[in-house]
Amino acid sequence: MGFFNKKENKETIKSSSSVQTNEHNPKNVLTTNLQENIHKIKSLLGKSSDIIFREIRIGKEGSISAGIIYTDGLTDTPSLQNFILETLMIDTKMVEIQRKINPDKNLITILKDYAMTVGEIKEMTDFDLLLTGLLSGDTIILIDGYDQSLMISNKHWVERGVTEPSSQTVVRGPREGFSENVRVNTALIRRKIKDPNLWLESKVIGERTKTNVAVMYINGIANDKIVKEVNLRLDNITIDGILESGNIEELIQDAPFSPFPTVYNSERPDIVAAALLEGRIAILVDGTPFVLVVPALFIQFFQSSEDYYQRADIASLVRLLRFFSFAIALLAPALFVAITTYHQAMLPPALLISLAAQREGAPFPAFFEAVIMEITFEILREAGIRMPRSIGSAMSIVGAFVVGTAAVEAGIISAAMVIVVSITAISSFVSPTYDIAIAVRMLRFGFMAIAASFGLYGITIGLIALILHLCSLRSFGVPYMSPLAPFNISDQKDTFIRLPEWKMFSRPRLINQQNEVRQQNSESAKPEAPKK
Amino acid sequence: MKRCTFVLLILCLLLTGCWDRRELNEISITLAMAIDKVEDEYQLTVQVVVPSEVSMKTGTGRSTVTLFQAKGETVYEALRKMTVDSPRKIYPGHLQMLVLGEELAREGISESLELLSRDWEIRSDFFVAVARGVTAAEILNVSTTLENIPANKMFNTLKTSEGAWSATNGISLNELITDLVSDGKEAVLTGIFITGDQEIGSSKQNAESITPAARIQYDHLAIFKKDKLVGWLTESESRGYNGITDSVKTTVGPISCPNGGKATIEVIKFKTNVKGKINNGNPEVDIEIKVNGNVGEVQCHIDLTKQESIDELAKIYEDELRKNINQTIETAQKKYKTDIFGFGNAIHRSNPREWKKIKDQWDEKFSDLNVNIKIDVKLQRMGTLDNSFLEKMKD
Amino acid sequence: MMKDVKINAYQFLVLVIFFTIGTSILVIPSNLAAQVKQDAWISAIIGTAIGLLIVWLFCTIAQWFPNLTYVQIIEKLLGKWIGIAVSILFILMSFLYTADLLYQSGTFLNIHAMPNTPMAALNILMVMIIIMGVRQGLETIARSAEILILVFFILFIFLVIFVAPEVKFENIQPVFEVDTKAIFTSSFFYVAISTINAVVLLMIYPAFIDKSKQAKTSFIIGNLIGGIIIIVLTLLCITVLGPDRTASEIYPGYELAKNINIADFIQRIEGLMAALWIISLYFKATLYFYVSVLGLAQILNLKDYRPLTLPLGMIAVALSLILYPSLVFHREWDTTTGISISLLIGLFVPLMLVVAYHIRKIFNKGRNE
Repeated sequence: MGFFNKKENKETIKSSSSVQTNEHNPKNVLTTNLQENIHKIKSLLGKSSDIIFREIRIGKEGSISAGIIYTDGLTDTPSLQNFILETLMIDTKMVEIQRKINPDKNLITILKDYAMTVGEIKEMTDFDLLLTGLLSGDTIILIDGYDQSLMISNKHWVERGVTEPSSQTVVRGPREGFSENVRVNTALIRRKIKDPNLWLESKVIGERTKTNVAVMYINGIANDKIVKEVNLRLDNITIDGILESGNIEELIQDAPFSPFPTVYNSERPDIVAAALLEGRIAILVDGTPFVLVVPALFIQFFQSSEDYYQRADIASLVRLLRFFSFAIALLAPALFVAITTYHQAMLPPALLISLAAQREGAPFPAFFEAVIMEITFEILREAGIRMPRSIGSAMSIVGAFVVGTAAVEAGIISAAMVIVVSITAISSFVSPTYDIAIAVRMLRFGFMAIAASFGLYGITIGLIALILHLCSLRSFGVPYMSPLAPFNISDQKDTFIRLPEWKMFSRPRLINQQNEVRQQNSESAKPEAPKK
Repeated sequence: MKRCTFVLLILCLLLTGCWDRRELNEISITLAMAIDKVEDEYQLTVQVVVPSEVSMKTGTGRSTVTLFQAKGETVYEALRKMTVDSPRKIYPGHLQMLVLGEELAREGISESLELLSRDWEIRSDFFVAVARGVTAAEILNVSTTLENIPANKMFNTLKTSEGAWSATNGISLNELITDLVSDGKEAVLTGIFITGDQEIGSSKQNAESITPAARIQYDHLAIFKKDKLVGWLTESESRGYNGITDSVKTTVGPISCPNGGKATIEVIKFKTNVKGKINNGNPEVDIEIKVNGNVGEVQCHIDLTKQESIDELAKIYEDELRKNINQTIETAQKKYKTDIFGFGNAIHRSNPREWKKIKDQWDEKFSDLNVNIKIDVKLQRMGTLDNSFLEKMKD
Repeated sequence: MMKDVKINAYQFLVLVIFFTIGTSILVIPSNLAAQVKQDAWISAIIGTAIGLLIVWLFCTIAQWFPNLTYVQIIEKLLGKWIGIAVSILFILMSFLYTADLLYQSGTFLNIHAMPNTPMAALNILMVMIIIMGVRQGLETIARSAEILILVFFILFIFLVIFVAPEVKFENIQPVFEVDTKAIFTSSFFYVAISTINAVVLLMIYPAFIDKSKQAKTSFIIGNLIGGIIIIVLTLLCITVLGPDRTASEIYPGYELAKNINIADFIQRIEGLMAALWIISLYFKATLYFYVSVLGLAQILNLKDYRPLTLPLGMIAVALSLILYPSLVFHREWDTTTGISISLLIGLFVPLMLVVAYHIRKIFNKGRNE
């Protein structure tokens, strides 16, 4: 119990460290001397060879010396040549003319306003920002005699395109998945929701990685309080690096000691878009295709995007099947242990005799048998994930044949136990999200232990404790078990079953309080009955 | 720190647990039990399954069950004493059949049943039977065919014949105890006995031959007064008993044809309603029986294409049934003076006040109880033929 | 911390249902059948009706002070010192019943599933989740109750459907065999155990409830639903097991589950049905414990009741082990001393409060004029 409720502590840790990432330091500004600036950058970057320094002379008869600095590999070289070098070295004569017209303006502003034929361009005096930009792939232009620089955004690097997501696959539904680039990801969402109210707030998190993080929500649907809470928690993060959204998830989740996830993640734009429409908030992190969605509720982990693309009846049945297999994955070995060692009376006579025959001469108590088999399975599974594909088939042979068949043949493990463990394993793969399956994997062992010492009573107690724990969780202020507890009859339309689309009039109640209406009078969309 | 202590506490609790854990290979699954009385002591016999022999894979051809026996002053003592012989603790949770010795039954059965209804593990839904002519232990000592566990054979045989043949009646411990404590109904149990050679019966050989030398069969109902066996009903009386107590599901009844020869009526629905009433201060019972049946077999000359002949058959069956029931009631009333039909309960239900008055002399009142019988037989179908081919052969 | 906890009317309804069912579901059929045989179900109906009157009384008291807990109401109406004395008595009763319920759950399991497991171990396990629930707060308890009531009803409906084929209506005949007086006396025990003790719910209602107006109906309806469940169960016990066996079984409800047999396939499921009893027992015990801890914290003027949970929980376990020397003693105690305590705290004190309230009202009026 007490193991799980640590959420109060986190707030204090966060608030104690309010160091600003981009604190203005008067010493770290550019000087007017070009060589000095270049030297300083070189020394700060430790002579890294991927930083390219190009000194050119611009202006009429090359009277002004300028420096161009960029990171090789992160910068788009053709555009550098076509739109920056060419402009500076050839077109600056035009600038001379312009300068005569506006003698009070300085060269930097003139270059920016009249000469550079590129999209995003910024004037920059701060050294830290300049370095961050440089290392993100921007091109820096320094001009002798000015303590300002121009930062041109022409980032370009090799990246994975928009491909089919490998997790959360569907039979019917869009095939695109998020990629590693946060910009591409926001674009994928925008393509689905072209609403001016789809707002996006950007942040840079990570002292060293300077990772771009975007918070997306639909203004007017998302609950303001939750948006504020998300921003607060993100702003409180002070960490050296964010490499994956998992890092952020761990830092902002409500119950760090709970095995259950309180933040949802997905690599499918359609899932995230649907979540935004329900009033949830998406957190996109640069460098990973996994987008976080908050608040996350328990039942959300049982909903697959395909539920909404299929017919409602089969979707409902499949969803019930998921809950059922969740229960199997959690309880099957525990129930087996409890019934065969405590409640033999529950077995039909024929089954009891058959199980007893299998156990004749078995060396281990049923509980240890179950633990051994479960651990074996976990090992096989872990090995299967990490192993090169080509050895995979060899492993399945070893797993299925050697461990399964041989152990039973040798009489070390009873055949029934192998069946139970296999069913458990298969059931744990049914859940559409990986996170909930992980929780089940861990809890299963706990249930087995309590079943081994207290039988069904232990399991009942364990389940009550589990439900207590689940009910005590909140995800960004929303009770984790809603709409089951607190019970909400109108939200049941998308809980254990999914009602047809034309029945889902309102958005989930607890997540968004302001704009409940999802659709109106959609019965009219159906064709009218032919008149006789 | 506090949390750690807590986790440690839980761990302690879990690790020291397993007080009631019993692995499946640590229990002996008992499917049948027999209780006899031998010289003022209870002799308890249990039939225990040998799981590895039942399984197709590991069976070596030895007997699928084994017997353990122990004596004690009480049943519980005997049950626990059995562990001096049995390597595993007796597990009675799946008991299917309890056989009581005839001698024990004559002395009174209630004491020996007490444990069985009190013990938490024993479910009281198994059948109880009285061994007739042999000791109860001997019944368990016969190997059987078709069902290789004798207890299952006993259980299933009783279950099947109860549904298809009206002379047997499977009575579970629940029902037995209800009858024993009830003022207005005496208990009845089915009889079980061995035909053939008992010597060979106990060996595996018995089950291997096509015609087993010894067989276990059910017949005759044992009737009780309080908890003591007072006598046996004959087969036809047993059928009458089952008819009165509405325990017939389906059965067949042979009748004589009007012109000589035999026919058989197949009963597919048999519904009895017993109503008690007080007539001028005297208790009276109305029995109303509704039978739906088919003509099942015709061994005589009768024109089945005519409604009259069907009605005639129905009438004959009705008469025979009435005779049968009357005779059964007479046996109970005159010979044993024990209300095995639950007429007392019927009167109790309809008139609790009067019942209170006559409750104490119910046995005498029962002996001269007036019973009115109303029978309604409907014959609906007659198999796949109308007239029998016997008709044609005559010509 | 304690003040901002609010549960809604539906959650309160669920808690009332669980409280009413509580242990009654285990012991009531046997107790009633022992006294009035096949008319036990009539006693249960009358008991439920009387119960509604008592709940109405509780509601009246509660509505005078919509923001105070029962302990605070007592203090307000009876003055500081008498108030504290009465409150301590009230808390002691609540705590005693926590231990009593622990004893009952331990006994039930000892009898029907685990005869060799020490009751201490079973009770510690139970008290651990009780403490866990109480520490998480009323909201968590209420929310879990919402989920588990679904489980409860599903199991209960299964039980009713599965047992239905075994029903023999001859068993309840003749109806009204015993006289009316006996029926009324027997229903008394039922009223005491499931309704009069509901006085402890005044610690939750109305202070911790969102809309206390609706909660009044919740209180009454919850009692009614709980009553109906007990009536149905009593009826089933009598029609299936017969009055004699119902009376002689210690836990006839469990025996009932043993009788389930659908086509020789759905049978032997009483172990699953036991969850029914454990769940309802758990919530009743949790509510008792919550009330005693919260009450004590309010008397001691503590800001947070949580530090009390662990020590009190341990005491409850110890108490449950020494409370009754034997089951027979417990059953006797329940029908004699237990009833007296319940009547004193649950009926006499509320009536005293009603009197005190009206005296004060008249007094205040006199002073104002």
